[in-house]
Amino acid sequence: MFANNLTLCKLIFRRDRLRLPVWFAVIASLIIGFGAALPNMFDTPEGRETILIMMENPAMIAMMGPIYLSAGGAFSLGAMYSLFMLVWSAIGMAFMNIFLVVRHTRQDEELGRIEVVRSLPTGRLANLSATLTAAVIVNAAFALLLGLGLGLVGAEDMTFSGAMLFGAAMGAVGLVFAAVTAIFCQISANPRTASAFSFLFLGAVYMLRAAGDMRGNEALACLSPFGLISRTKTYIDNEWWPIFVLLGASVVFSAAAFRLCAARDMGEGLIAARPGRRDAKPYLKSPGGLAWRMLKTSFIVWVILMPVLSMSYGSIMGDIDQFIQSADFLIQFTGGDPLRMIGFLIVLMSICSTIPVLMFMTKARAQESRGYAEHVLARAASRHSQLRGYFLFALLASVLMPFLNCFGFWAASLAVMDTPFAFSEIFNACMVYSPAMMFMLGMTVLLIGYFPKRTNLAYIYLGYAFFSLYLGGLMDLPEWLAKLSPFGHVPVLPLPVGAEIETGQIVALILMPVLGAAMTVLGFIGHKNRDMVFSQ
Amino acid sequence: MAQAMLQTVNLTKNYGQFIALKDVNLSVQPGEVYGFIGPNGAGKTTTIRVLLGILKATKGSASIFGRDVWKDAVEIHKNVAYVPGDVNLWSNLTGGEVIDLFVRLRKGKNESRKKELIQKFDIDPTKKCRTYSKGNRQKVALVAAFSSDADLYILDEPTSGLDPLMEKVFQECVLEVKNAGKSVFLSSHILQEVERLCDKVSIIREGRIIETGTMAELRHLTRTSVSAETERPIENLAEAPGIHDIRKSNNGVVFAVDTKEINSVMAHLTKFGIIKLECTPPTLEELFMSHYENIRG
Ligand SMILES: Nc1ncnc2c1ncn2[C@@H]1O[C@H](COP(=O)(O)OP(=O)(O)OP(=O)(O)O)[C@@H](O)[C@H]1O
Ligand SMILES: [Mg+2]
Repeated sequence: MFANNLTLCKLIFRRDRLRLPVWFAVIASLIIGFGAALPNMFDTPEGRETILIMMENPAMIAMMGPIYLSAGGAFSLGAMYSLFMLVWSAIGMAFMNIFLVVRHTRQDEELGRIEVVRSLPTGRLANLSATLTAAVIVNAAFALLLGLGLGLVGAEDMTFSGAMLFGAAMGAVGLVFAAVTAIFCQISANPRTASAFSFLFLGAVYMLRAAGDMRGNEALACLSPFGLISRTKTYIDNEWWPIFVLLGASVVFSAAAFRLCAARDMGEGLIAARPGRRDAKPYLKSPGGLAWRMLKTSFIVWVILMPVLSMSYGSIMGDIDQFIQSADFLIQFTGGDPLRMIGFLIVLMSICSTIPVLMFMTKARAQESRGYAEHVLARAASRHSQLRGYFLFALLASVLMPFLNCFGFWAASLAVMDTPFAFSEIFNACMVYSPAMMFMLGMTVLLIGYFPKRTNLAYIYLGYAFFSLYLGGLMDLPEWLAKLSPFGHVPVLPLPVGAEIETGQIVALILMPVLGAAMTVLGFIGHKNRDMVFSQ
Repeated sequence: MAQAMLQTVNLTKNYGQFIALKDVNLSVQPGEVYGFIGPNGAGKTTTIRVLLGILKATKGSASIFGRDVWKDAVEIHKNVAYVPGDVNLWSNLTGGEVIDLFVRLRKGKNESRKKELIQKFDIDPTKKCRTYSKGNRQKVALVAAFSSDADLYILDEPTSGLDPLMEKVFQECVLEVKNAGKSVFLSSHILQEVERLCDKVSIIREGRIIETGTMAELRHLTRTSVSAETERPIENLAEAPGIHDIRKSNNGVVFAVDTKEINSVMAHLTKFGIIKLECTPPTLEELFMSHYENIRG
């Protein structure tokens, strides 16, 4: 049943010889990087106290986990680190393990690779056991390396033993998710549903932990792997029992996965795949309808995500003064002015909400390079109609997304501020970015029209806008660097008392949509007159 | 002569410096099934994409129904059905959704024909396209094409992923539209298929048309393979005109003969008392081979 386990396991590492190091680099740079940076960012106990005050509310506890303090009630660097990092790093580990297991079991099976393997002298369970063996090795290696790395960089109250426990917690959570994903891979009939179930499970246990921690219900929180790792009280009491509970759970789940695997047929799931639609819905009859069908899911996700994000960023407006005082770089950055801090948060969210605008538009180009647009254009659909749908949704996003930001910030200000902002103040502060987004959209259309293979430059430009504003404020860079992006011309609102919007900024606000429109027209013309380009 | 359904005049297409098509002249008449064959990279797909207004011609002109393929693309496409060479389909749509979308994009609608074809081609329309194999994606495109009521069917290597059974279904479909008086432009490198279906053929190689004609016209260029058993050993066979590749078989001899010399060769054979004779008509395969031999020298 398990024959050739080792050969298959080696094959997994061979096939993932690039993927795994990349995962490690990403996770390690976050965990170890933050470990190295934290002591410099919050070097005074007073600064940490402010953060502690901000963290001591149910919403933050729901997001991050319960707060544990060192003996004497101090919020040590180690306590702060584990509060910020334990749960969220564990989510990263969960992602990696879900992808790993789905790829090497269900996905291989769908692609017919396992059929080949099984026709060789390998056991029935060989593939699953090879995958889980690989998962054990990967998670153990991650645990060890992350622990060592973190142990080497930590500040004085971030002990080596605490770092090793942190690493172990990552490995143990990873294994639980590997085993649970293995179960879902047996149950579902294709890789998509297997991943969907696994991520649903991830979301569910995260919520379980959030609910448990928020209400102070220990038992409920400990039902979740994320709740359990918070109970290690890393860097404070260094409890190891949650690690053993997690390892025990992964053994049980793995055994269950093997039972299920032995019981089912090749290529089948325990529950059959749900058939899709036999016919198209009535709206799927034009290029515009198709564009909506393509964008629907991400449109809905962004519409939900944006206000939630801006609301959670906005929630610091309640303690904004203390927040700024908590770290030197924030004082330097804002000049001690809370309005500038809020203005900066809004810029940040506005740049973030430009992503969907660009995404919706570049989707049109992806349709072309993947050869989907060919089908549409070969039928009675014009070049313009092929772009139009995506353009209109992107245009809608350039107005809707700032509005959703406004909604989020306004709701947050109502909830946390003693004298909340007037709706119109926040409305203006957010909507004022809409022209800049329209400019970015126009530029994207222009790229699609004339430089189809370079469409992604739009994202690079957006990245530049972000860094020029962010670093410009932080490092006193010359002002013209920020002015190279449309976002550098937008007045930062709400204005401090006595300040006024410059005339140049008003001109810019009018000019940006005009230029955007001009580039859009040019882009459409370019697109109409060029070859379809199939390569990336 | 009636107006051509499809016509190109000195059609040239460059990709940057690379000349993909050079002075291509084609003319498809109403009711004709026109074969377009050539080896990989010859320029078949490029030609077809120009014909559909997906690529813009560098020089020369191309028209369908007498209208310019670039300027009047939308109008033309109302009466054209197309199956691309690489059928890439939206991974998150089902086959059924894609077929509906395709048919609706041409404003045609034929539910019963669609159902019939889905059954004939044996596809499960409820599956997401990402789970389809190459052949199944091709079948989805074929169902969409043949459930549309078009005047011209442009098919780019439509059978390259189909199994023999499905190839037969495909051929039936082509013959059906042919009998209904429609025109078909069929690119292929499966030669038997072109031979079976097409009235007229153009051969393209390295972007140039190297031969055009009806099947009958092209056959005169070709060889017939003959296997013969005679009472007495055949003498002086190698000296007879137009004879190639003589091999001894168990009881006789196998050779190829230029089709235009077949009469004299038969006369020669009868002198030795024919016991058994098998003549295999030339396939396009052989036509192709002999053509390359001619080019190589
Ligand atoms: N976008 C492009 N840029 C540069 N060269 C291209 C491009 N597309 C095709 N070519 C080249 O043009 C030539 C003709 O390609 P085409 O796809 O038309 O061949 P084909 O006859 O359809 O071949 P196949 O039988 O393999 O489908 C090939 O040499 C190909 O490499
Ligand atoms: Mg081709």
